[in-house]
Amino acid sequence: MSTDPMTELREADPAREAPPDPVSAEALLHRVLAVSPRRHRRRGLAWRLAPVAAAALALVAAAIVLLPGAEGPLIERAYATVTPSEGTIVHVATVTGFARDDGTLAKAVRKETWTAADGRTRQLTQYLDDPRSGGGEHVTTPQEQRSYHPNIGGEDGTIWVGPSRDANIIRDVDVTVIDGFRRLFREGALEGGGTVTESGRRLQRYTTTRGDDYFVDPETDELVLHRIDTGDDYPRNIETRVLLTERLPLDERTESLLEMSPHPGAEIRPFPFTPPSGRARP
Amino acid sequence: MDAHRRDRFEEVFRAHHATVRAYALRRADPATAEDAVAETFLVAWRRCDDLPADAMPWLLAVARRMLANQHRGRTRRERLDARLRGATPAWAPPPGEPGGGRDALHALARMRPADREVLMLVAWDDLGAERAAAVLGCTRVAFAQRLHRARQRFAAALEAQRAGEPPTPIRACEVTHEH
Repeated sequence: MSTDPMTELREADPAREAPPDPVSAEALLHRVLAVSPRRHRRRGLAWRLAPVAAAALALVAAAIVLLPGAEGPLIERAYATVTPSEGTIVHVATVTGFARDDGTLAKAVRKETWTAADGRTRQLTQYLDDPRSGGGEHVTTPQEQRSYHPNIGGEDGTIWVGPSRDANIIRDVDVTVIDGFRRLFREGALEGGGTVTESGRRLQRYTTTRGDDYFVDPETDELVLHRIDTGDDYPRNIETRVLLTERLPLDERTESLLEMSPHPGAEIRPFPFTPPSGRARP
Repeated sequence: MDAHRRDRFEEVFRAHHATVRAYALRRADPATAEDAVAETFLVAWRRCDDLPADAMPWLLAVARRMLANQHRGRTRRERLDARLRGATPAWAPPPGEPGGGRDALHALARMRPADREVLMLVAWDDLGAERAAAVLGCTRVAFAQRLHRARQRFAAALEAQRAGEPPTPIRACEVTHEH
């Protein structure tokens, strides 16, 4: 007896045996909701304004040609976007995914950083790797101090904190992807790597000699993505997406954003220190 | 207003996450599929005001574009992907015991990507002609014609598979790239 081909095909559905993991689904829901819900412009209006926009773009292009340096290269504008000027705070939120050998996500870390032009920085770090245990949240980087967290393979998410932002020993270690981008720009270590399309967005790629890539959206001048290929090390692939970049006025209301608030889980240690035995020093 | 958007999005997410995820898993490797699902719901969150009452075909259409976008970005990441997953991904029946559904999967692998997508939407994603047409961005009538032809070709491919003709693997990228 022969079965109807479509019935046979239905029974061969490979996804029937792959029910979704509700924990992963909840984690994804919270990651998405953490993203700023930028309103989408209605296409109808966009299409009606397309000829106007094209003319405006032509004018802008002409202005760029006729007035070189008026706005500077994209890399300079991107640097300016994430660098606080006098009287402002730059607020950046990122989420970083760490891939296992098989390409699956081992854990994710969400960071939120407020930085002022005078160097004060406050950072929140939230571990999203295991929502079943509630994850963890740490407040790091008090005033006049600087933290770094290169222990990406660690299991306890310990934060090491150094006393001085100018300490040579931490010169090559960056608190966030934004810090790394700013430092590499100042060192002239970012090289254009052409344009790529990521999730439908055309991005300018910048490469480094370390083997990692930074991606800037030329429409907004924002750094939106950072990707590291670690070769044979663990984790194999580290990808950071910038969820939000905004500039706030530094005033009485926002001053508190730069102050480290008490947190029962915060661990602040002077630098240098001896790591606990059995734990790799960062 | 924001609370209303959030509630609406959560409702859509909880109702359709499993469907969108299954859609992506049928067409790409697990890592690519999970990325596409995340990107799809990010788009849905940002365009929550534009979500139609029947959001599922809209979500699948976005997921389909996300998979296509990921294919376009794949060339640049090919070297890394090969190291992460050990091989260049190709659309092929997942491993399993021979017989039964295996013939159907191998027959499906023989087909043109456009035909395969039509069949998958109906047989696996369980969509009617109206919703499947919305996913592909064509009319209901056009979809019905494509489905009719795809069914005939699938029946022929199934016979060829059972006759022992050697299969011709088709790369996963073609699934999402052609339409």
